[in-house]
Amino acid sequence: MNVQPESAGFQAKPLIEIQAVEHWFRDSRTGKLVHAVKRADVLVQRGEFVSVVGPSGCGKTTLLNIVSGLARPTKGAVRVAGKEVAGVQPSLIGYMFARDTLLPWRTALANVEFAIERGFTGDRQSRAREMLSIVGLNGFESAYPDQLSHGMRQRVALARTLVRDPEILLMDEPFGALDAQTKLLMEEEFLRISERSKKTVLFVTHDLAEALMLSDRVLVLSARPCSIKAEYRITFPRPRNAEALQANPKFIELFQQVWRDLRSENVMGTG
Amino acid sequence: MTTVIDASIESDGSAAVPKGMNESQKSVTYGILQVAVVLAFLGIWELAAITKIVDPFFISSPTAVFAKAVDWIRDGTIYNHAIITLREALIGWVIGSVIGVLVGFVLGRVEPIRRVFVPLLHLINTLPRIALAPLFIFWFGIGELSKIILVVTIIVFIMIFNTYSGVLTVNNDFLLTARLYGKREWEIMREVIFPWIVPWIFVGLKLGLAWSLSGAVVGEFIAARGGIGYLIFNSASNLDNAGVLAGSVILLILAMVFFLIISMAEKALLKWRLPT
Repeated sequence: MNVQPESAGFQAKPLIEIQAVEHWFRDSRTGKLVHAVKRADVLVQRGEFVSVVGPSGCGKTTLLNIVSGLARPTKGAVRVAGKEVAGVQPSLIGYMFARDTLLPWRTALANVEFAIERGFTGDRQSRAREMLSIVGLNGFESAYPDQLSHGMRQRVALARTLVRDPEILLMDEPFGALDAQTKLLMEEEFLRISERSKKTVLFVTHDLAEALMLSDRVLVLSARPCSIKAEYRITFPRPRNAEALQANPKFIELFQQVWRDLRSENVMGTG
Repeated sequence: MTTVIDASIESDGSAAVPKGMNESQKSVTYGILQVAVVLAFLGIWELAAITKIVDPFFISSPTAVFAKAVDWIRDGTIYNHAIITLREALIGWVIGSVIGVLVGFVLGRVEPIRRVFVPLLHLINTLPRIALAPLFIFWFGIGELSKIILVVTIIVFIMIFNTYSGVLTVNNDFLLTARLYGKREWEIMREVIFPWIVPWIFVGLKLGLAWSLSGAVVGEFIAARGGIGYLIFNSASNLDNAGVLAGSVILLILAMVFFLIISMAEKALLKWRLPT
């Protein structure tokens, strides 16, 4: 069927290469060193959609921070498009945080423009407008974040992430805080956008159904310090329809199978 | 488990105002109550003075204070004095605020400087600057300069502490977002940190306004050629309590006008905080 634990080897020239990465960071509140990542080896091919699931606080975000260039790994190597990551690369990588990071003093439009104020040639405002309309926010250009619902704010954040048309998308539980209906709508929309534009996506979530629905491959992490426990290939044909997929008996069967595996390994926590 | 839906949670706790009033009706009602409280206070004061329950030599009376203020307005004395005090207070306030915001910014962003200087600044700030007023007059003369400097030394600390506390609370996710989109340090300051601390700056500006008027007036008490403080001090020397109070009321009105102006500026700058 659709599930097969993956071991090693893939085709050549992955777009994202995380090799033997280990990471420690100092907690700014307690001042203690935290062992966030024990060992991570991840290769993501061009155009591939890879999800990373695992218990809350297991170091998934750390992995994305490292790939984005916001953090440097304590040990190991990270290469994107063949080059060692040495800092942020806004035109190549879009990164959407789990938390709400829209600037409250900027309108929706100005928040989207924030992403293209450096190193972008072309009409910023019309580009930002176009992006807002793609995420379905026509007519809300001049609204401040406080005037928007949570779901709408995440749409603005998504538009900001996509506005520079980066080849790689890093998504850190982007729909985690949304209510179930809004979440499904956003997932469908994201699925549509990412399939059409053939982005390479590294998607962090603690929602297994979301991961199975969106991805080509799902990596399962252990609790902190994290390492990769298991890997699943998801072969549902694309384009996918999130709602239809959720009702599909094969999907439900897959979900239960993976869930049993994970629970037996005791890695899913309660997140 | 039972679920209790308590509708009263929805009410806003305004027990004194009848339910069913909308917000504009409420603000009118509260405004009327406010004026009534002030009028009642003035009425009791006047009554106490007229009936001599309390000797008007000590407490004067609202009408005497009003008459004194009208006198000063009519013969023009108040304008010269008010302009002197305003000039001292406002120049000191502006200079102190600008320096304070700049220093506060640096303290907030540069940890070594913050760790060395903040404890020292707190120590210095515990010293009441008013106590140094005679020294400032000795150093900088009895003119306006000594009062301006006194005001600056008061305001600068208020603004430093407000600004740097604001800078320290900047949402780290916003800083990360700015870095993610390749913003440079000065762009982060201008586009993230500065907008973030604007509310803190306004708190300092409002607080500083009252302090700058007090500083100027106290400086004038000690030695001056003019100003509202000088006017009040002279009235007090002549045992003219109506004059003392009239000077104070004029100060109060000036402070209120400036407070209103600042509040309007704040509203205009912080419109993102007010969902419409």
